[in-house]
Amino acid sequence: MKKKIIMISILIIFIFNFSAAAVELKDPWISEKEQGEHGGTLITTLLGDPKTFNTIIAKETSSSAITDGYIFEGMVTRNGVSTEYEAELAKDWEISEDGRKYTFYLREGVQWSDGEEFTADDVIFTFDLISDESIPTSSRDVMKVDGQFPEYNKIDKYTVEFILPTSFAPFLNNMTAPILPRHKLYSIWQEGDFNNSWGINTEPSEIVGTGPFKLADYKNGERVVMEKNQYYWRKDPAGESLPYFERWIRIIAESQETDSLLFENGQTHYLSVRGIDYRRMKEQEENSDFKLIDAGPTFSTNFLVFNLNPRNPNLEEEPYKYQWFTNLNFRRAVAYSFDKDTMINQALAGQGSKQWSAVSLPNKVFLNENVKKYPYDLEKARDELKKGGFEWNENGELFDENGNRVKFNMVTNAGNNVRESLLNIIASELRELGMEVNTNPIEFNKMVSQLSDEWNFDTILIGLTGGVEPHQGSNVWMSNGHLHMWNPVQEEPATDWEKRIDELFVKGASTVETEKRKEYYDEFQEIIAEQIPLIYTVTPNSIYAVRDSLKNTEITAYGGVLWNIHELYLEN
Amino acid sequence: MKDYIIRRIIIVIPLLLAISLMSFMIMQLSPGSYLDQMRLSPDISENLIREMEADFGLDKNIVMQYFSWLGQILQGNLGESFTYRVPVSEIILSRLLNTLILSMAAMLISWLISIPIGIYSATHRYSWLDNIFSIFSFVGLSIPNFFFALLLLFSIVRFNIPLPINGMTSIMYDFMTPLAKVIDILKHLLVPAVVLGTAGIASLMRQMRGQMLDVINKDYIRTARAKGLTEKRVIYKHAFRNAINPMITIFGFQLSSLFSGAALTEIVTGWPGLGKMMLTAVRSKDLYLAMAGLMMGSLMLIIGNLAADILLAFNDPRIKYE
Repeated sequence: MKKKIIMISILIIFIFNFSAAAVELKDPWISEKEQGEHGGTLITTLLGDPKTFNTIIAKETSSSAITDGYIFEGMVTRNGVSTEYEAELAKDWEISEDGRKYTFYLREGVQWSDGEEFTADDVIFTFDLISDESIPTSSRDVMKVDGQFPEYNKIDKYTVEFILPTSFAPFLNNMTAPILPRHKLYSIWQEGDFNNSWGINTEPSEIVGTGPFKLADYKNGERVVMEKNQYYWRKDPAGESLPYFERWIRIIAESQETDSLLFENGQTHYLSVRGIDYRRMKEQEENSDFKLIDAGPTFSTNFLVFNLNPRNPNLEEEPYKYQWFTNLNFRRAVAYSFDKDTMINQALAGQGSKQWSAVSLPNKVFLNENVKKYPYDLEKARDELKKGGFEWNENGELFDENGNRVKFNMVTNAGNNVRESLLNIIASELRELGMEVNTNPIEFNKMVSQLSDEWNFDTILIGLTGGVEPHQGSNVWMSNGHLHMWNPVQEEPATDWEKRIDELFVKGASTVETEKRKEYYDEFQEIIAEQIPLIYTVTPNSIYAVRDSLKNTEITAYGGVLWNIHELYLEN
Repeated sequence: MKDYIIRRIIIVIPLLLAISLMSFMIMQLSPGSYLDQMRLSPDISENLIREMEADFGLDKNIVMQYFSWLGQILQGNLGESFTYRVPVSEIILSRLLNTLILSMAAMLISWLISIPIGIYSATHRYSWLDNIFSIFSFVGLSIPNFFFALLLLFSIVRFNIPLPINGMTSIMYDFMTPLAKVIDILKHLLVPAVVLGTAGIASLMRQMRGQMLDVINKDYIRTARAKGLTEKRVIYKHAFRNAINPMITIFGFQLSSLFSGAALTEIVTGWPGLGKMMLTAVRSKDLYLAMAGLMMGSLMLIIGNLAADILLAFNDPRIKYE
């Protein structure tokens, strides 16, 4: 009897060892940060519920904030500090000299969180999904080069290649797309159920990724609980599997007030501090267990855009508005009237930076700092207006050369406090110049339809969030783009400078060397600053309050606190 | 009585149809659609937006859209949410119970407190306690819920009161004993229920006080007193029964709010109820989810009114339905 038990135990040990040895991680990544302590629970907040766990069809950041980088990973990623490309699931990659062939060498022996091995088949499967026209994903269009989806092939178990129709440098950015497990989703996809798979009602254990965490529980409206992925391919200096945290609880706090209170109450490990909370937190900082960290300007932008569209239906009644807005002197006068110091102090509670260029401030790779700037100067603004043929009556009211009173609307979306106060600051300066400006916060949906299909606005204060890769903005900057807000979807560029920008974007995309690309995008930024079809305002700085117990952090505006979550740990 | 109820129920059908038609049209005719958020994303092409429009059926004309939605409803299918891509019924069910717990607690608090206070204030008119209650109710009426909630949460943090400030359950909830679980939920319930409850107390109390004052000066009360009945009997048997009628009607209206939740309070206190979800659905034009919410509210309003009418008949023998 005893013998039998021993036999069985040996057999079990043997089987266990055998299955564990089946997948051997050949290319781990080893942390260069100091060795941390394993265990502990990280507690952070989310500002909204996820809408789906299916990251390919997810459209809101509230969904991708759960999955991308934490549950799912791409072949490459961007470093949270330098914003440069870094190997993730691919240990290395090669680009052919003509810039058309990309070969990726995958890490061998990486496992999904359910223990299955990650291979080239999963990569191929993911791109099968993205290229499937019946799946509504935003990843497909950005992947297309010259309107064509790139060819992709499996070379062997750990190698895949992509062949593009022409050289296209932004392609590498697409390789950050999260890879999904074939063994879990292939049959669902074949049955045509992919679009409805992995919704928020899915059993957490069904959702399998290669990332540092896996989903453990989701309580609708309350919290998302994640657990360490014990098969993760990143290792600590001692060779043990990362991440250090055992669990990660993300409390859903829809109001930012509650978010702050949770942090002040000691319940969460970090807080993204809003401008209006800054002073209060600063006062508390000294006698408490956290530090305030200014990570610099964010990628979010706020700008005023003029309607330069000759197809504006209101022009029948007010054709002179088109004359004003297309008058470069007029636009420059408006630019000189932007009092950005006041904007930072009043709208952003002192925590912001001035933006002059069309590329976001934290974009270390492509930002051109030497573009034309328009520092606040009402005298210069008046000079520009005079040059543009405008004049004032005895009451200081501004008229154009045909005697039309300069009077226009300025709208933004209601409910965005920062934009509403920027709107008021801009309008009060323009009134100084003798213009009559009606400011009007309107419903977001209405603003979008004015911007994208009605084209009947005068000026709109709006914002877009930038990224590192400038080509991602091609829908905004190229004259045929639907987000080319001042004059969208043009068949032929209306002006020479728009034509030049189109050319620069085509060149910038087809050139592989970053140095060369930077030249093109530098010129583009100069043109926008010269022509100012839209005038940038100020960008909030991201400020974080972080508990002293959270170690190994390297906080940036790009990566936030958690970009290297696999290396973070809690002291005691 | 039975005939009356049956007739009332039959009237509900065209009423609901009319409500659904109205809300559907208003949702659809107001500017913008669900896809507008996406139109502003630089990564999403016009093509994809058109595909999704077709996928969701938003490219058909509105009348067609309404009838296909109606057809689904009649088959018991509430449709699929655009945002979540799962059936609307599942999304609503996941939060229905939470909303019910909160609204019931709030209702219980407001009715149990306001009725006795209202009666007391009416019978002790202009006494110092009545004045205090009046001040309290005016403050309660004028303070916005979300602000009151924030004040409470802020004091919890400031004075280190051992109460949770967000959500419905604590992190360790899953590892608790059943009794501890109930206590945990009650602790979380306290702030939102008190906020919503006190908002109700203020107005109910004034109502109750006013009604009682009206009745107390009536001739039959004087008669009752003259007959030598005890004051308690006069107040509770004669005055209260007559004063309560309008309160029953209010109760009927309040039933409709049982499922609709209280968006702002839910957002601030992190209570996972339906209110916030429905607000987002209406604002982002997640059509079928919003419609389901609106219809549920309307249905509850109708049921509440019916319930109130029946209760009235029980309370007041003068009321008869033919």
